[in-house]
Amino acid sequence: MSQKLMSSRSREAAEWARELLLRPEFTAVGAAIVVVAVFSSMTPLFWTIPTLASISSVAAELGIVSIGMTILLIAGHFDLSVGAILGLASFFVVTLMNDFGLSPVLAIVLAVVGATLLGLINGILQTRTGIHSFIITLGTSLVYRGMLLAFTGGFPKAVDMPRTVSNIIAGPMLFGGMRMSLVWFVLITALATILLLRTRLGNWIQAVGQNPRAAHNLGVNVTRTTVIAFMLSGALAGIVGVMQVARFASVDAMRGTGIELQAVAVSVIGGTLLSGGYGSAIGAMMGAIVLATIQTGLVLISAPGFLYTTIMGVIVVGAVLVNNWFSSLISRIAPMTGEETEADPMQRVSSVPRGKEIPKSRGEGTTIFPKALPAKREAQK
Amino acid sequence: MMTHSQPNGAAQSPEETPVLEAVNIAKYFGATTALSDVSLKAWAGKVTVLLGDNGAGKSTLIKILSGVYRPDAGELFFKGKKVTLSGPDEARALGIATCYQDLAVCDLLSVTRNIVLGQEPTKGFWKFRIYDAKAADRLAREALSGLGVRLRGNLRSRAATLSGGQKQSLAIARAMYFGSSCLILDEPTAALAVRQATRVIEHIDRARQMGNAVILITHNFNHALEIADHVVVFARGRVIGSFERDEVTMQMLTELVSREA
Amino acid sequence: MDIDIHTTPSKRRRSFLGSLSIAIIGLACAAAVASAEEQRLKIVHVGVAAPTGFFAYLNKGAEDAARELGVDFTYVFPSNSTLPAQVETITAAMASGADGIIINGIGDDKAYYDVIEQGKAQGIAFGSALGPQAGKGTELRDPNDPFLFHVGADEYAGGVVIAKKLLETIKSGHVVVGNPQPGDSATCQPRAAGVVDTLKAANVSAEVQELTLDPGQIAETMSNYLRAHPDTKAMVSACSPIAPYLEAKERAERSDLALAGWDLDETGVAAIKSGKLSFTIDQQQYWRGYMPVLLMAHYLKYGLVPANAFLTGPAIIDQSNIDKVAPLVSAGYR
Repeated sequence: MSQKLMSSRSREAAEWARELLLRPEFTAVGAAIVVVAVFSSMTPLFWTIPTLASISSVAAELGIVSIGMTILLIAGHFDLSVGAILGLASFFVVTLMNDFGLSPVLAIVLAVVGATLLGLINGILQTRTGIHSFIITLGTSLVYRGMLLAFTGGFPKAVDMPRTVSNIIAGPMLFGGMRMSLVWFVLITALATILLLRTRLGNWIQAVGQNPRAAHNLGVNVTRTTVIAFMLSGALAGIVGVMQVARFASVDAMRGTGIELQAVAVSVIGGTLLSGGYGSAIGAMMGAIVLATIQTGLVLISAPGFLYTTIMGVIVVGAVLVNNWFSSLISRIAPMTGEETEADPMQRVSSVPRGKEIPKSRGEGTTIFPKALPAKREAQK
Repeated sequence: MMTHSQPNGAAQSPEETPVLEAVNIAKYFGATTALSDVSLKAWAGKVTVLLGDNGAGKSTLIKILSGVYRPDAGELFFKGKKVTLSGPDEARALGIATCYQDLAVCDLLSVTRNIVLGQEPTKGFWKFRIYDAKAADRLAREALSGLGVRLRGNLRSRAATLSGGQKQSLAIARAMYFGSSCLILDEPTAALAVRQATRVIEHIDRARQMGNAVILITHNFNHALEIADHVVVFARGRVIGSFERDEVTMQMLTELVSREA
Repeated sequence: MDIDIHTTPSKRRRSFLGSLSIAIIGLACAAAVASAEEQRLKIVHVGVAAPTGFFAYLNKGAEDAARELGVDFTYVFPSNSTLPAQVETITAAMASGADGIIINGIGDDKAYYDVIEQGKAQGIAFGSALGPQAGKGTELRDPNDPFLFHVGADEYAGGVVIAKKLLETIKSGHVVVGNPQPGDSATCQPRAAGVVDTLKAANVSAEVQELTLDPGQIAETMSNYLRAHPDTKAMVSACSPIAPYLEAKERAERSDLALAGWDLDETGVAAIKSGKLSFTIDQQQYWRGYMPVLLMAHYLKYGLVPANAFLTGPAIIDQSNIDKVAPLVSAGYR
């Protein structure tokens, strides 16, 4: 008996380990370790405070956008407009302070609210029309970018951001010149992880991304869940927009261009499936760190500057390939959760030969399941 | 997480009010008549099997019973009261749970999360409530053991690791646990291996034992005869035969369906 | 400058309501005026991208010229900055009944010969708002050139100017040129090449660092570059706002580092005044918008064709002339 217990324990442990290896963030952690190992073996400059400050600074801004993208990808949708939303949020801060004379704090809050509303528009358009979010947000990205062009008139706009405010948002206030954005990044990652793993909404987001009709059948409000995911994506892009204003005290019409594709890359490196339903905020964090490390590392090892984007692209594709390969390797190991075939004989209805008589009376049935009703009542207590 | 329907009535007189009753239902899609004059009763503690070929109108009927479509004529009664179902939500709220074959589970969610989906237990205060993982696991275990579904290993493993039959059983267990008194099962044994199908049939039997009214849609005569209390045969949107289990044989059904098809 | 009370083309573009009311006034006032209006020349500028940043200055110049000359002017641009998309936009402009089309080309001049051929058959005149090919700025116009004129900076020559000015103080060491749009063969690429080629010829090592468009990422990449290459004496921004380079310079604590770039915005003006930015190359893009409209209008009206390209740049802006230039930046002229 104890032997049986042991074997079931070890089986459970093996299954637990397998599930851990299958976690989306696991391979991203692996990728980060590999990338860091490679670059640190190639240059003594790597393990220095300025390098870490650089990586964390790039990773924070990219990562926050990517977490929004990840949540949305888990819910089964794309958002190609995050770059334009980022730019518009930057513009909101500048114009609310310059033209409306609002205090920086109020301007920042309103800018994030504005970005959330832009996400809301994406969500409403998608859920109302049912058109693929890729197309919807491709359209809104052009509209939002066009608005930014119209509002700025195409000219870069500068703003006088008080030092205290910009320092709290993105200033180099941490140890060794690390930026405050790192703090926000870690905080947002933690909150997003709690959201995804420890709230009802998080469960719904995952379910909606995998099997929206099943989720709907079980009473999940699919539309509302989807719209909220779009709003989160917009809000997080807006927060990064605010960070960039705090840092550069200006906005130009191209602000945020290209960040949407980087964010998708980061999400995918972080183990998020483009098909939806599966991903993690910690994975996105690790993905952003991987991309930032590659960007920084390539410069530090003096890789040819004219191949920078090419090499970065190759490494990103490589990371995703390794990621997929590893996941499929792990998932090919037979799952531990199988059907309990040699179960308690009480659980088994004597299989009736096809087409022959079967027990008709319920009396006979109840003798097959003598404990059925008490068990159910027990469960209801 | 209490269920509304106490299963006590299961062993009592089968002549009491049916849990779900459809009377003279008709449904038209433009000029096409999908259903006409269809009547059906589902009793507590009984399995009513709907048999018929593809296109016979079975799926239209379950969509009406589960509130997806509204009938063009006829009436629905739930526990003796006339009801008009404005949508699937209302049907679910009454305790009519529909399990579709391809929509049973979200593969990448854990077994537990699949079971509690939409009904997640939470803890915390005011608006700050988080998912209560332990309570969810407890609920999941109770739901599964209530139906006699045994899983080896971890409730937190993904549903993808379950067999097709187990996914159906999970869906049935979930529906029962969360207070359904009428289960509508759409082809739960289609595309399942023989042994898995047998297991699902066992679980349907268990659900019947516990006092649920079960409406089982299938085109597999073997499964139908194995589990049915009543058999209703469909063809071209009409009921062409309605039998008690002991009145009917495999041969009768085969002849009936092949003649009408 | 509102000589013509009936139409102010630039405002017309901005405000539909305005144009509507103008049209109504025009109709109500006098038929004679209206018939004169019909003969207004229509000039279309086919740009590279939306009138933003750099192109905003250019568009402003063009609109000012159109208003002063009393011609209709429209700025159009392709949905994406590629040659095929731009050629489609040109075709659309031809169909819209333009008298003259100014092309701010993305690709080589020859890429447009085909479409220009068709346009000429319809009696449309073509000019280019792009500088002549590298090093050809001083040559006389080829009479067979389907473009009546070229107006723009010699981008490669701009790179050469930057390199020569840097060589005044830098005799050895290393120079890095940041390029956020690798593959932009009309602008960023020739600029960077001009700098690198000239420096290398003078035995100073130089290389191009590819970048993304994100200012945060540019700042981090360049500051890391400076750490990895401590012998770097100068940093050049080929084509993006200067703010991230200033941050990189500050972060690397290299106040001795020479920093140069193209174009000027408010941040750049302040940086030149404080000495953090050594100098920038101005291509006087207001003129790149203004002059093609002027030349096109004069060709259409009087048949005038310039004998050589009109070079708007390179012009150098540094501490010696920044005080004169600065107010014009905010006004949208520089």
